[in-house]
Amino acid sequence: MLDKRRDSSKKFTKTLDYRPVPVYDKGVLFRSIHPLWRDRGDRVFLTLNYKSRKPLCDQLCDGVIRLAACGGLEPGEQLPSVRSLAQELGINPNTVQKAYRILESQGVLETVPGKGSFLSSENNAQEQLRLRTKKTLGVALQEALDRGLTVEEVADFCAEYLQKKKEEDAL
Amino acid sequence: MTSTRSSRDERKNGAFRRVFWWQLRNNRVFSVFFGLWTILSMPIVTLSTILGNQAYYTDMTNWEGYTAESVAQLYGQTVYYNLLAFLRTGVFLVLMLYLVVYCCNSFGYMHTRRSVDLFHALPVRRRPLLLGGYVVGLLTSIVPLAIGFGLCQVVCRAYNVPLPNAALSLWALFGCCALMTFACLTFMLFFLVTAGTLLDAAVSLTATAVGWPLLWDVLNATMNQFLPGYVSVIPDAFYTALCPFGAFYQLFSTNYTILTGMYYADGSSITADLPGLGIWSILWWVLFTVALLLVTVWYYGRRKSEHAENSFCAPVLRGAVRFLLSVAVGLGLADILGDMTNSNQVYFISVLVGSLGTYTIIQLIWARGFRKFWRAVPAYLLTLVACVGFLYCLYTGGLGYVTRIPDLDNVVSVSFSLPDMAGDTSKECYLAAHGVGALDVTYGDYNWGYFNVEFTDAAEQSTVLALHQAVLEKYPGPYLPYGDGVSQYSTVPIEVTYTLANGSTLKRAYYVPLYEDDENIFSCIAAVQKCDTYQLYDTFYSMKADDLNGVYVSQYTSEYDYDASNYELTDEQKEQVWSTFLEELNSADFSYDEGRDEYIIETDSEYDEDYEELESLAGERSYYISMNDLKYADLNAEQQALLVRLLGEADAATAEVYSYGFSVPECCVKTRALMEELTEANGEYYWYDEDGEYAAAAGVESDLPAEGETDPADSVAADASTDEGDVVVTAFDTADGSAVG
Amino acid sequence: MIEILDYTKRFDNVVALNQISFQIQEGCIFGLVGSNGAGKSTLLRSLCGVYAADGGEIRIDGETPYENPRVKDQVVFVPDFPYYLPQASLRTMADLYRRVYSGWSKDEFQRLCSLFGLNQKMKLHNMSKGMQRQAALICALAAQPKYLLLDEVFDGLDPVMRQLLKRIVSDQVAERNMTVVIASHNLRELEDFCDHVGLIHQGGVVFEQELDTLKLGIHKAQAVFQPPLEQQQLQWLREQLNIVKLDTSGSMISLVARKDEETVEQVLSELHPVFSETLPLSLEEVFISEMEAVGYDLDKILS
Repeated sequence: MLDKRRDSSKKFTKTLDYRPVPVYDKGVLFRSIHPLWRDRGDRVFLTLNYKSRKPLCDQLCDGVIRLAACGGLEPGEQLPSVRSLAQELGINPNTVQKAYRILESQGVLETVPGKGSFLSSENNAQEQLRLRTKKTLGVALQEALDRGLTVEEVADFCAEYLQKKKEEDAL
Repeated sequence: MTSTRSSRDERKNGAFRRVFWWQLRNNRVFSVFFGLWTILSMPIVTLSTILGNQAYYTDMTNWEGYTAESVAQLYGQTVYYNLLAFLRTGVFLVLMLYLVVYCCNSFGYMHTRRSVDLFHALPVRRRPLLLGGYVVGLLTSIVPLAIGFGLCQVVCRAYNVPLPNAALSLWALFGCCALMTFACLTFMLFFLVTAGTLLDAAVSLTATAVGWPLLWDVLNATMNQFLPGYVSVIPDAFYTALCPFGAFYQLFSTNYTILTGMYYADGSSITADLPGLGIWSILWWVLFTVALLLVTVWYYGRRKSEHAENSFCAPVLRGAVRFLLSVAVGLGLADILGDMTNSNQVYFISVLVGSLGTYTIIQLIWARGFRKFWRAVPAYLLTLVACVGFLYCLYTGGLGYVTRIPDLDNVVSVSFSLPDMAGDTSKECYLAAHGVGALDVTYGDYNWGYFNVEFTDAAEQSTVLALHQAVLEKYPGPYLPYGDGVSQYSTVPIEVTYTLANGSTLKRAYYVPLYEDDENIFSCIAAVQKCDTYQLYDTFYSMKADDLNGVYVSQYTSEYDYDASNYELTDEQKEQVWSTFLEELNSADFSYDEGRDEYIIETDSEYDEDYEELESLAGERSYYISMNDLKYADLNAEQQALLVRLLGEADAATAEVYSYGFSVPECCVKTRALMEELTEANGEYYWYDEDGEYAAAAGVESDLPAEGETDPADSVAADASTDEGDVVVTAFDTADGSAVG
Repeated sequence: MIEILDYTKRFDNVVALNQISFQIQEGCIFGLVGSNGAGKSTLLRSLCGVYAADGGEIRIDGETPYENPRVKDQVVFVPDFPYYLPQASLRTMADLYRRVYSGWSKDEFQRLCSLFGLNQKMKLHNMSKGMQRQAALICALAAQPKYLLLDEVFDGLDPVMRQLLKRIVSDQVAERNMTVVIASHNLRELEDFCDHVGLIHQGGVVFEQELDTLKLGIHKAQAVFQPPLEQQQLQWLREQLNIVKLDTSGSMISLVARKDEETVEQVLSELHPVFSETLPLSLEEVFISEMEAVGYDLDKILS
């Protein structure tokens, strides 16, 4: 743990105990391989990229949503306090506070006064992620059109790609 | 986090206390060193001096003729003076060093930006911050002193040493030490606060502490140089008025013993022997300290943090210090150079150069360069104007100082002293020359008094006034310090002190060399000497034959050597000598030779070194009749009455008046021949050789070369001058007439 | 809350701060940016009561800090070159702080010492510059003030210590609602940490804003148009997008606009670019643009 923290080669990304998560069995696999927040309240599983232009606040939101969507966080699970998250990552607590508020407004988190913030039971994170993905798709499509691809070319490409994916999955 | 401080006063007190304890801790190393040194060294030194002297002073066999009380008194005094000597160096210097170190350590923070940032950002108000350090400094210096003095007292008690004034002396000394420590610390603090850097503080402090006494010394010297008759009008205490270190040091001088206004229970005054400062000095230092402290604290509140490392701070102070030093150095340098070259032009140019130079140097140091120099020029011109104005005042007679003579009606009494020479050749003149017109009296147990002639009668006073006026006519003015004008060099002055009707005194001292053409002055002096009261002070008028002691004939054989022969007379011979001498003295042919004045002038105060002039003596003989001291009973009635008036009846009865001998002038041929005969026959012959060794050969025949001849082996080519010195060239001051050399 | 109202500070004839006004809310981490000599240090020193005002006033929690122990108790200033008493060790300095600051916590001090790994008894003048700075920070943090003023402190620390410091400061901000004012001319450092920034130049405030608002409200875009845009189209762009800077070279335009991302994208797309890209600006770029907009020469600012 300590070594990881002081590894200066990872200057621009801040990672602690993050390993890529294959999402096939979120239940058992996670519990056995990845200790949960429940066990150690100060562990963080978020990546922050300082070099990216994206505000840290947004990066946090995205990180939480992604984790929630892929099962790293369970509905009803408690998130670390603003204080401990800020302290662990070494960032402005106001930033963390803001991120939590945004997530709460999006319905991803629920705050119980006096207790903390919990992942909402409705698993709106999934929904959020889907929304964001759709948005990204839209941008890509628009860009394609702007660059001179015709509507038919785009549609054909999408169909081809999805077909290939289906075949791969079937194997 | 949870301490509550509700009222502001509480907070203020809290701040002071916190700063206090912190400064104490901050300086603990120095304080402990100083404290231990003082507390240990003082009693140890006392103990060692007691042990060293105990045997001598308690064994009465060493003290024949002394009473037990006087021995005890001497014992106590010796111990006390030894302690003083140690305090002067071992304690005073260490204390000063400690104060300097303490101040730099505790208050040095305000002279660098970085430390000022720290200290002025602390949640403590400025004044408690300053005062905390101040109080700690006071306590850590005064408390060890108190303990040290207390332990000395204990040691003295334990060994039964009777300290002067029953140990009050020690406590009076401690009290004054404490006051002066206060003053010194405040003085240092003042300069630290009003300066931006440590260097500036040091320069300002030194300039003031050194410059102030220097300034008054120089002013005194300048006035003395310009004004004939000048007697210092500046009281001693003034010199150290702004230099507490000097005043502090003076405490430990054994000459400084006045603490007026205190009395023992039985009404006898403690005044005489208590050490310390006079009442006025104490008052001054208290005021000085309090005022300076208030100004310092006030100024510190106003002092901006950005003044650190900035040399410009408290411009008024800087202007004052610069002015002070420029004037002092300018006039001082001029005095020195003028003395060396004896030229007025050099003097005035030096004033300009000295003050400008000092001004420039100080400005350079403070401004760190020439940048702001031109702004300081107007202030320099002011300094110059002040100097010139002062000198002009002196040039025109010091605002009337020179020409001031009181009216006869105003004068209650005048006491004066005359130079030991006069111009005419009469018998009175001769007698006056030998007697100097003052009474030199010893009385009681080792008491001694020297009384100048004092006139209270109006007619007699008018003679003195006439003399004063005559002397003033020699100095018509305007007055320049050097050059060909009438100089003011002579060894013995004409001094006059008038006591006026309104209680004030007017004092003058004229170091006026008298030449042949000063007939006016000579006649005035003669007139003074003819006064009855004046003759009362001359023992000649009471002398009888048996007051003689012996005769003494000497002759210079060369520059340095002289041979002499001395003989104590028998009663018969005394009668013989005295009657011969008186006869010649009173005869019409008596003439106190002229020309000797020139000789005297040439061999003035430098005569120790100007042996060339003494060549003229080589070959000349001098003849001297020595006298015993006259006792009270030997004097005539009026002189006895005078003594009673001066000393009081009890003391007058024990008085002995020193009597100057007579050097017999050339015209008294018979007396001289008689003296020679007596000494040749009976005299104890002795000589001084080159090394100044006194050698007496009993029974060896007097081997004096004949008059006019010199010993061929060691003579130097004598000046063929007709100066005949009948003036006594050696000092004879013992009753039996043997030369002391 | 720190309120600065028309504050002016002069040194002899030089005006260091000229009627500046802004506010710093409680609990925020405020970044004070400016070139050397802009007045950042002067402002910080005025805040902690070292300098007295020559005009206007400063209010911390409603009171002036100058000669006000109650306020100064809650304000600690860490300068870029911290001062230590002669022959002092960390313990000596801690003793001074302990006596004067009511918020001093001994436990916190011990904890920080062990975190930073400093020897309390070692003389400070034997330590390296960085360690001396850490010592000053430890003392300041252990005093647990409400307002922490840091003057170019991060610049002298190695990355590990920098991170440690950030974490500790974040902790205290979160726990006690401490307000931190960091003066720096290193924008990249501030970007990640501050939530408010203010730019000072030659004694005046250029602007002061919440960082996110600042960044969200300004974007740069590059777009290629075939055929190249005409003047009236460019004019329309300017009006629509509140353009700060617009450069054209042939068929490519690059611009900086004070609008959020969507608006910029949308407006651009209406003109049907061949290629367009909208990016947020880094703090440094924001400042440069703003300064150019106000007319200052870029070279003089961020030296």
